[in-house]
Amino acid sequence: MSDQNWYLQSHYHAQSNHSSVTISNLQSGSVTSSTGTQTNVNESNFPVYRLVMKLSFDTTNMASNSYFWIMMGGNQSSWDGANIYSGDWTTRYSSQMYSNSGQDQGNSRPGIYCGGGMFGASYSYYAWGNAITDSEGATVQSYDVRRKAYTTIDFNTYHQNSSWYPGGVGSSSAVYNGTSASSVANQAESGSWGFAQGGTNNQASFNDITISSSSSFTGDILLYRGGILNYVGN
Amino acid sequence: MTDKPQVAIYDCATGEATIRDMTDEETVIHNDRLAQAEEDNAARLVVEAQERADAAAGRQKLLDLGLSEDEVTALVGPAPVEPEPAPAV
Repeated sequence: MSDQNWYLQSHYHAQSNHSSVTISNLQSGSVTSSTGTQTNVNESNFPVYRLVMKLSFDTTNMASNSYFWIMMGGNQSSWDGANIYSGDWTTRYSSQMYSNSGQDQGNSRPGIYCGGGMFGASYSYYAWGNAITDSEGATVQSYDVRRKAYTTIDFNTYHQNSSWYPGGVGSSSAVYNGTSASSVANQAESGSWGFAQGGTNNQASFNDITISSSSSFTGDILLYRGGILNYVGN
Repeated sequence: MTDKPQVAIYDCATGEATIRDMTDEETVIHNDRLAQAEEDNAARLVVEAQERADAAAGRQKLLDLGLSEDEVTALVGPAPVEPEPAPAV
């Protein structure tokens, strides 16, 4: 296989409940091509950041009084025009195909707030809170990882301009909790979401990414960097 | 490990991860964000309720013009309905 431009910079597995995960020292280390050429991992060589997460939130409901932040750099006023939920964030839109955008322009957030795009992990109406017996006869406690649903998140930013914070786009998806067998319309906490953010100030560089949430989460967080050339050997 | 929220820091330079309790300062920020999220959520619900009301009013005007339900649905989509949040258990 030829050299490639993507580099898996970090993979953090949150085994226990976390409220926040910070990936620090982003502009560090180097990659090696198949011919032995080393390239430093920095914003010039690897200007694309891609976060791929599969998280399980320790709650039945993320829609009310919840937050989920992705902060790149984490400085107040770094981002604006954030918080754009695209149209299909609930199942009613998946059946109607009409959009519902919520904008946050003018508030200069330190990151993107997309709590409504996450889904509580606990299957309501699946004997939640009680132990159940699985198909092989084993007892499965309510807190067992097999009883939990995941939200998958894919978020990208790209430094197209070295003088400004980049814009970013992302999406998330989560399973339906199965409370309505005959129709999945009108459920607020299921489906897929889109979100985006724009940069507001002239600090192009950041050294850390913080993911934090009002509800504790477990799962996996992978950070990929995209290079401007095929620096990465196999 | 305590009852306090847990914070992890993964250092790309070393590949080491550190897990610690949330500090008092971070807890203040955490609580501020909770309050902000609640405020944002309440505002969003108001906006969405108004959008549904506007959509229902517009739909009714089309029906009053003599269009059938199917014709209105073909034009503007199904009637707006209030979403039901997943029940807490």
